[in-house]
Amino acid sequence: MFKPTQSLFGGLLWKTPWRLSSPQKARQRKRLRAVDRVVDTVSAALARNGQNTKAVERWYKEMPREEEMLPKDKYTLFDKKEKSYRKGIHKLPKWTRVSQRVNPPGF
Amino acid sequence: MFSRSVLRSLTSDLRLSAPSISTISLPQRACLHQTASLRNAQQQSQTQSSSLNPETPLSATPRAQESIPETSIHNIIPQTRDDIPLAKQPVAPTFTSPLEVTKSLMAQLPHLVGQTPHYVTAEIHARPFLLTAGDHIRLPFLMPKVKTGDILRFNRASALGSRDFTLKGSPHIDERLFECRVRVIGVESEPLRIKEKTKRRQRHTKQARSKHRYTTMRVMDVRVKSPEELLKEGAVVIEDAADSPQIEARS
Amino acid sequence: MSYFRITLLRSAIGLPRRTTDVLKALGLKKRMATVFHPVSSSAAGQIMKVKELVEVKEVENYMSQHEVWLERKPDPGYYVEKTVAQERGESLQQ
Repeated sequence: MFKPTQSLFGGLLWKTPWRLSSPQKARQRKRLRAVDRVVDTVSAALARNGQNTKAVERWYKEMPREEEMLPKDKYTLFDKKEKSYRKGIHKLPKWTRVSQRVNPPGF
Repeated sequence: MFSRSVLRSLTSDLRLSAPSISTISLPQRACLHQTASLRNAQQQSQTQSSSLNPETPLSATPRAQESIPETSIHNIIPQTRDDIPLAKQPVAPTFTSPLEVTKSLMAQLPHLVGQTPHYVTAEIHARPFLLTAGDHIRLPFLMPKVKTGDILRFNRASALGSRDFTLKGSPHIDERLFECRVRVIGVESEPLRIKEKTKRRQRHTKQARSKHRYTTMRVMDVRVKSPEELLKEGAVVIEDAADSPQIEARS
Repeated sequence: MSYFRITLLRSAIGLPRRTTDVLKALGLKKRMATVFHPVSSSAAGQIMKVKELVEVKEVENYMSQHEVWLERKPDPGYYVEKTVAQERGESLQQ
């Protein structure tokens, strides 16, 4: 069925929604947890063998876990050009495959 | 790096000072994403210690996951690429332990046995086929090493039932609970398909021909064994467990 | 000695060249490929570079590619109970 929308009528009109939908947010949380799980597994395995890696230690020192993060940090990131200094995390290139968890303090 | 760690401590302070998340609720939050049975005492002490001194951020205490190294159970280590264990080959199974049937299943089984036409959801190479006695089936492949007239037994079933009752497996029903016999009728073939393969800047066209063959069969019988039969074959009646199979009546 | 069992779940298409190279160094060439590496800090560092793309488990035994494939192979679900020749032999005896 044809549903008249602006993008179908006007030709070139591509719009990215300004915020994430709730399934998108759910999937984002799932991905954050998956990364946490990978890091936990790696660190547990290393601890069992009496080794350690700088990358894992640095991750634990700097990055919050999924359940510790504020919703604001999960779904948005700092942008100096926005009025509210925040934009949706889906504006970040390759946002589903990069770890972006911390933002400048105070924003 | 420095600014990030400063920020981390800042945000954790902010969150701890927030009234909604008190320090008492911390172990409960930890419970949410970890199954309680997997936590050991050491982890518990870890979470408790972190709740006692809230200055240390939660992430600094790495929470070990249930990643106890698994030992894979392989009786025979395959040597060549053609080595396939007997369990994954179409050969008649040999049983080492007797069939275990729960009491409740024994009590409910006569209802299912009594109501005749039975159906079975047999899985052939993990694909389900809903079968009743007398059905003709055409498999989506040519079954190797069978001839017309051979009798096959289907031994992987995910559901077994009649009009009103269904026995569901988790994920499969024990193959000693039922009999599903099938006779190979023959081989069917699809009409020849010709696909023209062209390449750019060439007049030549290649023809790719395909004519697949499929095995057809007829279901001889689908039979659920009665409790007496099971006992005669050496089934053992055990107490009910939480995940024991149950017969569900149609609502 | 235990091993990391690493499975590539997400492809590195469009990601920086370094990421692709790390995957290549780990031996992950396509999605759903599984490799085994002994637990060591260097392997851990490599995993940390591509932690968003892979799934990691710690396992006790090394498994060959064939064994990994056998794990996924389903049961056939059938067996030959009686061939035509057997049936004919039985009927002739009677």
